[in-house]
Amino acid sequence: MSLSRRLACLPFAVLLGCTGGHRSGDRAGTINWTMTLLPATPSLIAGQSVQFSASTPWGNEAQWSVLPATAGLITPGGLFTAANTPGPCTVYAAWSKDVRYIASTTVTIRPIPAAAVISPSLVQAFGAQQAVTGTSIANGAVVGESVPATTATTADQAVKVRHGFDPPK
Amino acid sequence: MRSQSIAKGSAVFLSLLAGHLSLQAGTPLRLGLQVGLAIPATSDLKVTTGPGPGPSCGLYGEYPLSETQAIRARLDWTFFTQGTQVHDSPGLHQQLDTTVQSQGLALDYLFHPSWLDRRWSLGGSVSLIRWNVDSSNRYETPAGVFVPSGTSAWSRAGWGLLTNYRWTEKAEVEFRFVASHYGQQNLPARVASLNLLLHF
Repeated sequence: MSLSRRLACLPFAVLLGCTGGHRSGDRAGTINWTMTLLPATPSLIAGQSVQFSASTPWGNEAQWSVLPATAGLITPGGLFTAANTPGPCTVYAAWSKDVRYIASTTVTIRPIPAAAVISPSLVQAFGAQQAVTGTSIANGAVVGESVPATTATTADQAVKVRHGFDPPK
Repeated sequence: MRSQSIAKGSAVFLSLLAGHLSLQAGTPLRLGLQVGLAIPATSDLKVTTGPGPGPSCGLYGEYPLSETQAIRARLDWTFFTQGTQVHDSPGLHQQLDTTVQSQGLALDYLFHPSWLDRRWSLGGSVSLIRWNVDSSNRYETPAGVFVPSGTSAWSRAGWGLLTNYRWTEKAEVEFRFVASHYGQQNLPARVASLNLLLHF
């Protein structure tokens, strides 16, 4: 075969070589790239908000989503506000310029705790029997007993505590 | 925006080159049109574009330096096929679709070796390539679907090797191999193409 004909065949041989050899492992290896999402696995009470941030080494503009959508709302800036339904949900962030960079985190939404009962004049006390060795000093058990409230205030008026016992002098 | 700037810059460059060369008396500057097929030749680019050939087209101006040498300035566009990656795991079906386009401004040097038939020429090229990747990432979970989408673009230098075969006075067949990089992680991107050059 002449040199010219060999050269003429070369492009087709290279093109055939380029089309072959596609490794399936490449697909799994490049489908997702690393993106950092913070805070990781936050826990919050229904109705509360948390500010998420997502970043890659090249930028931090992100597209956000929360699944299921009923779990709360997330703004384009990453501020998530939990709905009133307790349970887990997943927050997703994808880098706006290249959505192959994606991250997710699980958010736990806890139920709103029962409201505390506050009485201005009484507090409920819990304790155990105490005794001072070698003396006759002893206190009986106090379990859920309502006792008169006393207000104690620090010297600089910074902290005020309502409790059922006299503060130490 | 940047790709528009490159396109405008490239057009200006070609116009200036054509204008400069045509001012020289008797210079047989030849303008032409290029159409062809391009195939990705690196594994990551194959995954991103799909392994099949994509169409390309371009414009060029060729200026002979001597009996055996010529330079060619070229502006071309390549439209690769869409790449699709699917990933399944418990509770998640993911599909990533990516479409790659490239826009290149190249300067080729061609010469006719004395030991080769006069119809053949060999050469090399340097180029500036603008890569554009449109991507859509579909996340399907039992809790719902999240489909972010976006576009990335990078400008990278490239170099190439080419072989030309003069078919007729008006038509040439060209094989070109271009090596460059693309992506945030600057992955190798090599492209082989087979083109038909039509001189005006």
